[in-house]
Amino acid sequence: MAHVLISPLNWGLGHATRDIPVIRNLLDHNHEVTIAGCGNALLVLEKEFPECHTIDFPDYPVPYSLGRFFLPKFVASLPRILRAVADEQKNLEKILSKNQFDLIISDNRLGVYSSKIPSVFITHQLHYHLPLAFWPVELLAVAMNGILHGKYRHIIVPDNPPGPAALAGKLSRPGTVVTKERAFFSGILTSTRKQTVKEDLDYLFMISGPEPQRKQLERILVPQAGKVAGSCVILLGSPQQAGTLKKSGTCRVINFASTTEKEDLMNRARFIVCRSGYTSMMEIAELDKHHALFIPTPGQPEQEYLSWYYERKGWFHSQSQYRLSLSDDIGIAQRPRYTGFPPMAKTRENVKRLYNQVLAQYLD
Amino acid sequence: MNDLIISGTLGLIGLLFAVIILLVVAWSAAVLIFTAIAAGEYGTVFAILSALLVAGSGYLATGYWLRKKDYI
Repeated sequence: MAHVLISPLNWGLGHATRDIPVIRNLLDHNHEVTIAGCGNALLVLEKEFPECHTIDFPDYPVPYSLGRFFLPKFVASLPRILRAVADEQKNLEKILSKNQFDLIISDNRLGVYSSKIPSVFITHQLHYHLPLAFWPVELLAVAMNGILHGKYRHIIVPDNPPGPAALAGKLSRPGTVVTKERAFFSGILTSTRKQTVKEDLDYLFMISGPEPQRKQLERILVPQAGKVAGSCVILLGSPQQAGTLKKSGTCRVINFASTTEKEDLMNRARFIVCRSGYTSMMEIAELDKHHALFIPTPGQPEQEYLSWYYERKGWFHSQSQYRLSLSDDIGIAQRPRYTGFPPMAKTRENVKRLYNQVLAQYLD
Repeated sequence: MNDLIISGTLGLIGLLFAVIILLVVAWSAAVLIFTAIAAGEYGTVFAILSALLVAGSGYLATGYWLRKKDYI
C-alpha cells in the first residue's frame, strides 16, 4: 500500500471534481490518500472521501475580473501568484517533512512538486489562447509551461490526444519538447456519471462560474428562460441561498443543487444551456449529450476559445451573453449541423488506463 | 529561490519592458507626426504613418503565421 498526496487548485470546483475518479481509483487499489487543498475544493473532497486524511493548504488568489476584461487583471495579479507559489513550496516542504509520500499529484497547483518524490501534474491547458495582438505573451506562456512541466514526471491531460477528437483543441496541444515527452492524454475525467434514466426534462439551464458574471448571466437568462416552451429547470449555482425554490414562468428555479441532484438533472435533460468551462464540457461528453448551447464567461479567454472551437467543429452552438436571444439560439443549436462531441472513451475506462500506464509504476 | 519563480519574474519584467518600449515608441511617433504637421512636412507624416503601418502589419502577420503553424 502506497501513500499519495493529491492537491487540487481551488479556482472553482472543476479541479476537485475531476480528481474524484482518480482518488476513488487509488482507494480501490488500497492506497492511502491525503488531500491537501483549501476552500470549497477541500470541502467537496472531504465530503466525498471522509476516510481520507486532509490538510488545509492555501493556494492563490483568484484573478476573476469584475468586468469583461479578465486578461489585464490576470497579468496584474501574476506577481501575487508568483509569491503565492513560492509560499506554497515552503508549505509543501513542511508537509513533506512530517509525512511519508510515494507520489504527489498536483491538479494545476504550480508549486506542488518535489525533487525527491515522484510528482505528476494534472492540467488540460498545455497552451493558452489569447487575442492575436498578444501573441508574444502566448509564446512566453508556452515557454513558461515547458519550465513548469519539467518539474514533473508526467503531465496528465484530461483530454483525448491532439487530433480531431480533442475536446480542448489547441489548449491541450503540447508546445515544447519537455511537455511533449511528459504528456499523458488520459481522456476525459469527471465525477458525473451516466445513469439509465429517461430524458424527461426539456431544458436544463446551469448558471455557474465566478461572480459577478454568474449573477449577470442570471439576470439575462432567467427572464428569457421563463418564456421557453417545455419543462425546464434553472440551476443558479448560488450556495448562499441553498434549498430555496421559486418559479420563473414555466421554469423551476433551484438556487443550489448538490452534486447528486445536479448529476440527476443533467442525465434527465434533453438540452443543456451552460458556460463553456472545460469541466462542464467533460460532463456533457461523459453523458453523451448532443444538444447544448454554450455561453462563455465574458473576458475569459479559455471559455471564449472553446466556444469558438466547438462552433468551428460543428459540435455545439455558442452565443455571447450580451447577444443572447434564447429562443432563437436554442433553435440554432438544435439544427442538424451541430452533431455534439464525437464518441470517446469515458471516465471509468480512462481512469483505469491512467492508473495502469502512469500511476501504478510509482505505487505498486 | 527556484528557477520557476525566477523565470516567471523575468518574464514579467520582460513584459513590463515591452509595454514601456511600446509606449515610448507611440509617444515618439505622435511627437514626430505633430511636429511634421506643424512644419507642413506632409511627406514626413506619410513616411512615419507608413512605417507604423508596416511594423504593425508585420507584427500581426508574425502572430498569424505562428498560429497557422500551430506554434501558438
